[in-house]
Amino acid sequence: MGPLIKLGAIDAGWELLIALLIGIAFGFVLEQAGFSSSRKLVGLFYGYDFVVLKVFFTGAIVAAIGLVFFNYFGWINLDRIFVNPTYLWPTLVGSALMGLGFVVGGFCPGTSACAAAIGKIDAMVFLGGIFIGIMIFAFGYPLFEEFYKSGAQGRVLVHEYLGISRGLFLFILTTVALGIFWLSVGVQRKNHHKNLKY
Amino acid sequence: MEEKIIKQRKKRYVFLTVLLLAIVFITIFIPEKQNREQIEPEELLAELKDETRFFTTDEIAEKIIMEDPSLQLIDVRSPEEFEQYGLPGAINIPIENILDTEWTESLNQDIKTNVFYSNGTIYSSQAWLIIRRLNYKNSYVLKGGLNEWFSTIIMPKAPSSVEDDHAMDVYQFRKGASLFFGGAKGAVSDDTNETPKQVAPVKKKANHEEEEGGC
Amino acid sequence: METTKKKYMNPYLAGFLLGLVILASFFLSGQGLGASGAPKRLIVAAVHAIAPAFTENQGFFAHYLANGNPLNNWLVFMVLGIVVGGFFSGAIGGRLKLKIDHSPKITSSSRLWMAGIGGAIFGLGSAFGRGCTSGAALSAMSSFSLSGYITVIVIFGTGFLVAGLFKKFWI
Repeated sequence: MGPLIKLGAIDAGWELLIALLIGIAFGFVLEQAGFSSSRKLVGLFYGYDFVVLKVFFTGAIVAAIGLVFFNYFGWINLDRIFVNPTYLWPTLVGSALMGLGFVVGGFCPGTSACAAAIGKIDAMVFLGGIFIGIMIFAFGYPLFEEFYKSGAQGRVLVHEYLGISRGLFLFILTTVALGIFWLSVGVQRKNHHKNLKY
Repeated sequence: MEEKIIKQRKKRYVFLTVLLLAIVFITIFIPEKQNREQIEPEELLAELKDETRFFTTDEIAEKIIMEDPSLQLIDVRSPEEFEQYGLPGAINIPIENILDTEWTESLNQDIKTNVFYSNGTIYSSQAWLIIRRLNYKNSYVLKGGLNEWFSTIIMPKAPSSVEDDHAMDVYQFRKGASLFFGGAKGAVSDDTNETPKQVAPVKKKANHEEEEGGC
Repeated sequence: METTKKKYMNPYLAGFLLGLVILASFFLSGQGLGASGAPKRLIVAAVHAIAPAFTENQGFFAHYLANGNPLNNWLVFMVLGIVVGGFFSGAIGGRLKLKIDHSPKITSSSRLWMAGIGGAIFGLGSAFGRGCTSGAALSAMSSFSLSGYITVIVIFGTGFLVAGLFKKFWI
């Protein structure tokens, strides 16, 4: 029963090797999906390329469905996996900055690492920028600390927060995502008559 | 020709959409598995060895005096013993009844700090173990039990050396607490205007949730 | 147009595979994917090597130093993997080439400036947001974290809001 490392089925010494292997798979999929091109990534915001949206939501939904079934079959204990704790205010500010940084810089950390690997110089510069941004935070931490820890709510699950079952939430999420996928076809067709792709 | 390919593709996507919806629809009917009832033995052992489940008598005395609303003392001895003497505000759940559904609500919650006690620590630790096995949160044990409670809070002994400030502070606090709990009068007769010393704010037990973000 | 020249994987297939990777990650280690943790830890390790007295007393650095070497970490190795995997995929797809992607309307150097500034903003944001798009949004969404859904909505929402201001840099 998973998570295998946490529950001791795999020795913790293997953890870093597993991280490396999963990272390789992750990087491979990102590059295969075209996430090494910044113009493709930001295409979402200008309505000419929705590949980010498709890959991103399909990935999240597939993993979520998988986790629900794994849990049902007793292969994984969902109470033991890491659920990002909710800190409302810093998350709002941080995410807004990330959205801005995404449009300005054209990457996010994972995709820039992957793009830098195939020789995109802009991605390497973006990575350098990330270091600067984190350094600003690190050295300014005494100033930010109070805010960084504000709005702490702990391990909040989204369906519990909404007061519905996990399955129902997943169903709604999937329906919305599928709706967006079908809509995006229409938008893309409007913006790019010839290059119709689903 | 191109039209045909697009049509075919569209068909495939309609099929995939319906398939995905069907799969997700099933998840609605998957019962939320009560994994909460399981905790791995290795983890339980680690927690057992860990001392964080204990509250000292001083900590508890302070909580009672400060009327900490989150504190819930649970006496796991028999009703007769509880009748004779119990800590203020405690409820009595004899250990043999601890699994009764009547108590589930009090035990499986995440608002209050449940502190088990018995005369020593054997029964309270057994209760704690069962409760942790059910993976209920916020369960603790009164260190030393009521025996310790009597020897430290109700009838505190003056420290042998007056030089030690900390020991003296603890003693002063205990004397005050003793007065509060109507303990032995003799122990406090030497200076009666001593009020319970408000020691450091309530110590928060560390929650072992991982701090770090995933990314 | 550019997209038709190179053969990228079908986005839904890629998404499906990505989902399997996330699932494997949770199944094996109980945590999802991540990327911004690595630069964080690299910085901590570097600053610690230069000025250990400073790092041990400053909250941010001390937090990451608490469990031994900050580089002996899941996220650091994952990013190494991303680089290897990306390189491998680029090699297969014949996309290994030193170049700068930019809109024909701007020069390479302004693209690089934008990338650097964007990276810095993103880096700062990922520090506040406790993770980036892969950890705080993507993986967090699959583990049903409320925070993940807030993060993804705000990232994309802000993206759409400010996109108009930067249009000339992309189209």
